[in-house]
Amino acid sequence: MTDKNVLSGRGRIEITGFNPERVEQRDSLSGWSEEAGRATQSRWSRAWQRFKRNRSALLGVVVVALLAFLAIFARPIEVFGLTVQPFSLAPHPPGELLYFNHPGEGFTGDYQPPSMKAPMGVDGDGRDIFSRLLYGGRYSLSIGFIVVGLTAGIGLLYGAVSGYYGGWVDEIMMRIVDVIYAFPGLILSLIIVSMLGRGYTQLIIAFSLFGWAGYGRLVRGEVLKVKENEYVMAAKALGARDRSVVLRHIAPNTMAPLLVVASLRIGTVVIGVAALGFLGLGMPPGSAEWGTMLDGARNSLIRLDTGPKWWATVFPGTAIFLFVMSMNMIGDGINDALDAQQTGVGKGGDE
Amino acid sequence: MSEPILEARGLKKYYDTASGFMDSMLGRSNKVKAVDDIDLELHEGETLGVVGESGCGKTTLGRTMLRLIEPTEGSVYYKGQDLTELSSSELRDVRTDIQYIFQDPFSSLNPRMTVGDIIGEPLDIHGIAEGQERDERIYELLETVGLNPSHSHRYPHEFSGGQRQRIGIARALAVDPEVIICDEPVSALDVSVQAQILNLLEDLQEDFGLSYIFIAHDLSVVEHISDRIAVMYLGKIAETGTTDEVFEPPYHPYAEALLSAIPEPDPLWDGEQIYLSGSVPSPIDPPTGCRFHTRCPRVIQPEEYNMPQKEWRQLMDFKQRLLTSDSLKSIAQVTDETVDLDSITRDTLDELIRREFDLPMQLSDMQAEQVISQAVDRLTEENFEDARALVADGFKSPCEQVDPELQSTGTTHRIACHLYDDDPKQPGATNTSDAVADD
Repeated sequence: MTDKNVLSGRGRIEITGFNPERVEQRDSLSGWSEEAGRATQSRWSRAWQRFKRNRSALLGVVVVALLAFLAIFARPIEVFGLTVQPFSLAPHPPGELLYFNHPGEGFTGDYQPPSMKAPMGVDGDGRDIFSRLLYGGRYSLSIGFIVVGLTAGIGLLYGAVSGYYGGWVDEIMMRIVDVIYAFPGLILSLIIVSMLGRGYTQLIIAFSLFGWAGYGRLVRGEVLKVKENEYVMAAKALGARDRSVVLRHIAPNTMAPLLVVASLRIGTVVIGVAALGFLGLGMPPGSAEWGTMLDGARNSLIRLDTGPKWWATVFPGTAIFLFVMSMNMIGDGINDALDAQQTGVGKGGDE
Repeated sequence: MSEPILEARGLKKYYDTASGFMDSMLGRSNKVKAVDDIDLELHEGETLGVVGESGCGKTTLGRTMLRLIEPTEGSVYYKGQDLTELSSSELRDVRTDIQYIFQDPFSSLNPRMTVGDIIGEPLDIHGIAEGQERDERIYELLETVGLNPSHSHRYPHEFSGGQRQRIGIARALAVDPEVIICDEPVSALDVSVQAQILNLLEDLQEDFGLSYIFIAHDLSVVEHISDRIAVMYLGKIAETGTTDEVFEPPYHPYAEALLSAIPEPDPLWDGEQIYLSGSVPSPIDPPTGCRFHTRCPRVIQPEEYNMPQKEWRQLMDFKQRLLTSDSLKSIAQVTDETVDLDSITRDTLDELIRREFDLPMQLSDMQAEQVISQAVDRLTEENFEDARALVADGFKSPCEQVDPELQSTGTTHRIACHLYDDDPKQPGATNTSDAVADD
């Protein structure tokens, strides 16, 4: 039936006069050699180079570092009765009543405007606002970082599992996230604080218990993208267990967007803590947390008899503003440095 | 011949098109038959080339054989052991014997890992080497595939496509496998680099006694590397045999078309290229009988007709178009905008349809001519149903009724085509299934 060879008559061209040895033995056409290539630079060190050139992000780092430094060295820190940090930048302990401990220096038990002795004034209970501000940074900063660390960690695991296994597991896990999303985050935190009571640990729980949902959804989306890459299939072909596929191949490739969102979320959490504090649901009344300080000074805003006591609210408010803005600038800087929008594979190394 | 080292028996992989929970609940799903009942044998030390156009199921076949994708049905035997029955930990052990090289050298390497870690990963997983020994093994592997051992601390993005593919090969070699399934390992590379990689694969085969299943769409690549070839079309094997047998007549009509499409640099070469009509049918609803009959230039005529093969092919095209269309516009060639299809005369429509399908005004077979003119009558009345019934009944190729079996045309050469049946006009003769042959 089919007897004609479709390939007949092919391959008549012959190449003559080409000597491969000459090509191999001739002088190299360019000066390039293996050793001339620059040393390898990891993705993170490239990102750091780019981050360093971003001035607003660096300014943010400086402000946050300064705030952290002031908070840590505000008062001595003792661990199990042992002083690990002996310095005290703040002139007074945060709860000290100036008129009581320093009689005869002109302090009263009421608001007093900024002066040489109290550079940011004295609050309605007769405490030094400057000292309280420095010390209060400990609450806001630590809650911000701890909550974001916890939620991002939980979200990473949750999202990775959901995205990697897919199917029914994914369906159920994402519906749970939907349910959490149905409530405004601050309201959820508010409910938890009102159930557990006020306090540092309670605040952390309040913000962490449901705060991971956003990360979970973000990571799941990233994982769905990453797991389509052939290197995931390759790891399975090599016999890797699910756990190591997720930890070695999937999670590291979802880190960039997670890091960006986490750095931006620190500011949001600090605002949230301050908001609860202002509503009287944060730290116990009288503690030096910035939002709680605002709450304590709320009365001064509406006291018409002696005029507005601006220093009692402006300084804590400025502290919150400075910190949150700096964190956002850092987050934007990280975003630009990591190019989180274009973390695709196959992106060349030299840019 | 000796016992095959890797063997697929009746391998099937159907994908579900249901996009979610609601679809599957309501039964709104179709099966995509990516791999449909495939038998393959790979002998020790040989290279089996699998060719076919995009979407014919080559990659799915390769991955189901390794159980990277779970097969729907069928078995894969490695040295007599059925891989589809193994538990996941048993399967993990087999992974040291069968490895896979991926098509895309860019997405198959984790961009966050150094080359050393990528190649070291299989060593870690199977506990093959640790510490100093591990480093040495990595350097050795890099050298084996022709890379500089000092590259082990670099990241994949610092390498070219060919170098990356070498890294992928080194990773596959790390476990000291017996069989490597190469999934289009050179199709993403440019031609000069393709040759390097193919030669590397050949050298490795000699040095380590490897057996390859080499998946590709490029016949010249497959010819270069394969001992045997299997030609796939729409999830089935159309032809299989040694490289020489596949490249020499007799051909499966599909393999013949593929071979005629190999580019030839000789400007004086006047071989005729075979153009296939239409496009690849959807694997969701593959054609009945022989899956290639919708495009086959050698599709068989029923016994009662006698006309040139080209004319019959065009009649089949006309039939297929008519069966899936609902308007005159899609079956008649309208070049003149003034022609109004709603009030068209029978003769004009007749002419337009014949022009669209390149049919003569008078078919060389009277019986066929009668069918087509009756169909045009119905179409003039816009009676599509009757026209379809007429054409479907009148132009019925034996090819669309019976699924061809792989027929031996030599000791190792087998072709799945009714042309090679004992009695080509009556496929039912060799196949005792529900054939509807007209006798």
